Amino acid sequence: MLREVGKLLELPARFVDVTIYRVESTTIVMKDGSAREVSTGESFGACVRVLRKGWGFAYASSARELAERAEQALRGAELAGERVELAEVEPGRGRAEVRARLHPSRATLEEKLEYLHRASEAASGYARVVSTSFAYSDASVEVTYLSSEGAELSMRYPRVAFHAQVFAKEGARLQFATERAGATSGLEVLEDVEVLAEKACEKAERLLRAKAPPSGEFKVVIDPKLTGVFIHEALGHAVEADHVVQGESILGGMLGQRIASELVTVYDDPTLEGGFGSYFYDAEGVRARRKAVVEQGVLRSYLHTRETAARLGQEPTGNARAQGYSYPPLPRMSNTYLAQGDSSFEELLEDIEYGVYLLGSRGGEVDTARGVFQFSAEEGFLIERGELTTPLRDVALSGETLEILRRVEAVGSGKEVHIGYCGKNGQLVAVGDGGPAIRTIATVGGTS
Amino acid sequence: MTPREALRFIERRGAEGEVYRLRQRHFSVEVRRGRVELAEAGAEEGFGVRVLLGRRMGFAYGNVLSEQLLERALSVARVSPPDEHQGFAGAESYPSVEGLFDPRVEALALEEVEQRVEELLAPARDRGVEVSQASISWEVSEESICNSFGVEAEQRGSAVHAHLSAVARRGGEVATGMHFSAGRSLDLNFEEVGEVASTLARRSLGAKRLETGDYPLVLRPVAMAELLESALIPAFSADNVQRGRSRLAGRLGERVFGEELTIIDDATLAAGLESTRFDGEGTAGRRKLLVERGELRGYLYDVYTARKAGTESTGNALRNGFSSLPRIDATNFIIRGRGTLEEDALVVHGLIGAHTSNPVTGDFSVETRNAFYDGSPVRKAIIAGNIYELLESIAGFGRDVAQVYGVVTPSVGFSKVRVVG
Repeated sequence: MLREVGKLLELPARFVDVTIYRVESTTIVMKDGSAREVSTGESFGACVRVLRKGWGFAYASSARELAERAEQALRGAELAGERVELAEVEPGRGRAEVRARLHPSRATLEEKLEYLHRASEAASGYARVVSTSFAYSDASVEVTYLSSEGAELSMRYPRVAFHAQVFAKEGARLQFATERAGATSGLEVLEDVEVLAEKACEKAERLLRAKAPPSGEFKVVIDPKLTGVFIHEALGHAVEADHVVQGESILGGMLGQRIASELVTVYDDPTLEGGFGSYFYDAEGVRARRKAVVEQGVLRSYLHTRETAARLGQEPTGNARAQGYSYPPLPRMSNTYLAQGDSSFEELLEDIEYGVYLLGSRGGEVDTARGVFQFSAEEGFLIERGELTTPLRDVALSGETLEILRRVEAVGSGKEVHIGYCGKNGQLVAVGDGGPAIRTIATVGGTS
Repeated sequence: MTPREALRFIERRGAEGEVYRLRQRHFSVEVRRGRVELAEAGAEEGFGVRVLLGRRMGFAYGNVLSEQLLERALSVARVSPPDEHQGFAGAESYPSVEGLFDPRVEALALEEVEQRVEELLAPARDRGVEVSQASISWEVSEESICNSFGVEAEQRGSAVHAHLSAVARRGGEVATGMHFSAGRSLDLNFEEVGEVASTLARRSLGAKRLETGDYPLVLRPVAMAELLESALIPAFSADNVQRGRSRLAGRLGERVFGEELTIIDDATLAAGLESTRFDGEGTAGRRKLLVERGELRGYLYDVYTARKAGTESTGNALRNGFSSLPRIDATNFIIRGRGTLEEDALVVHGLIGAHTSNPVTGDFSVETRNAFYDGSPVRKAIIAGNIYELLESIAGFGRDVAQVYGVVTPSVGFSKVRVVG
């Protein structure tokens, strides 16, 4: 396949690149103690981008079909309304590989199943837990990237994930809770599946007793998991440079300006070892690197593809990512986290007369142009006179980017980066989100 | 090898088999900053194979149907636990469904789409708003399925999608509007997509905050669909019902919603986006009454859950590509009701974060997108409540029925929701 697809680099265009993916994956879902869905397989495919006036993009799962689609894409590339330019980069050459201690391609299905049995066993001791789902998934990915500028890269990495979802019931009340773990590494990251299963069960049982949250504007303390989602939604999407270029980011034209409290420093780091959103080179063959997005409250960098970097006259950042061979690259986050501060957890709470402490994430979404975002916590507690009191459920927060970032009043110590999945323009990619616990002010959307 | 040959190979190993094949061709033209920037042409083909060894089910996928792929499925089956409910669909006749395939979609070349792009973009120019992103995409798919029990089916389908995001500016103020539409044929109204998005952006300028409190609510079709997908549809899955994860479990025949409301899942809807002659297991697509005037009438089954319940599959085992197992989901989830709509309410076009709703309890707390109160735009407002309570308090239905993803619904009015301004 490589030789046939490699010929496409000679297509008549200003720039051509070709990416070949081979992915082997296994998914196992254990439902209520029985492995009901076991699936495994392998897929390959390749895509080619041609730059004439604008972009043509073609993909296929066979070389012959790809050549045919590439011809169509070449003609399509002339439809563009404006000439697209690319920022210059040193064409990457070489090989890179994540070497896992327990590589998924070397583990048997029985060994993979064993993690789920262990989780299921750990969950069996909870009287109110009525139903459990535990899922294991892995992917062994091989990517080859070639460009008409001479880039020639090959990358191999495994990615594994574990998801727990448990349901607890008491009388007519039914609640669920989740936990997950994952990394760009081998099965060694799944050592604690029992602990995750137990945490999920305890949380689901707690939620049975939890009350609906209050509504209105409050001081809130959010845990590291939720800090990650907060940074991802409130800040991260708005610094993706396609939004900036398209005039749909509230942070457009604000580089070098103060946009957040000076306690806020945020990094995007695809080189984080084992991070769920880690990679060696981005989808355009640009070397991955850590960059400060915000430094002490000042906006320092957007997240670029080569095209957006050229458009804004800035340095490429290595943030072009694609879900797979059937998707063109877009500017995306990798592992995005808030740098730690120096407040202890008690200090975050201590002078709050009445507020809300929020834990765990159920995801979020943002309108980058208006800077309005929403994200949802798995559980919470009221804070009364600096103490955690009543447990809360279904707590959602919303806010406006520029307001809430300025209102970050305290940043905790420590840092955790958790696994996440980020959806944009129909493409889902693995990301890491994290930080320490923080305190800010936000709108809590309760029903009381 | 052909799917028939694959079945014979599996059967010679003392197993039963099912071979699913999907071939798709996809095209799109993407507009950024008001101009075409990228044109895409793609094709994909693959196979998903299930084997049943005794009562052990195994699944494997790949781009090529080979002995290696079949061996892989067999080795998965060997490590899977035996389960008496595992099984395949039997042969039956399939309904003919109108409007699944438009040959004009298959024939459309990338360079022929310029006129339609122009129709999509023109309304934004006329209204003085910017187009941040827009796209037109179209695809043609061919699916086939066969199994050891005589199922043999194939179908072709086409789809066309259009979307546009508009940004309106006045002074330092920014407002956005987004709209999309999808259908099976090339007759999609591209102009309307551009017009709705642009008008929403324009009308949303000058937004003010709303006082926190309880308000009557109208959800436009997009907002209704977003909320139902996350907070309600999972409750109809027989898998969730059987595993005690659904609030609708054990309530067949009871009144669960307001009696104005009827819900139908219809795989045979003419030109429906989710219409299908057969599901991902080869069971015939059909029309099912789920809720009749507020009373619960049925759930959505695949072969596994139907065997467990001693009933028949409803044809709701849907495939999301060739590389994953069929899963229970609604096809065209149709909302019908009586009564007219009072627009004297908080009118919400779309939601931000609907997917964070609680699929078990039905609780939701989501930010609004393009919300209006008394005709004036609302700056930022969370609506919070519970889908089961909301559907008990229906105030009326509009006449603007639209298909949004898999949901077919008009605007729906509710007597009260919590709004956090």
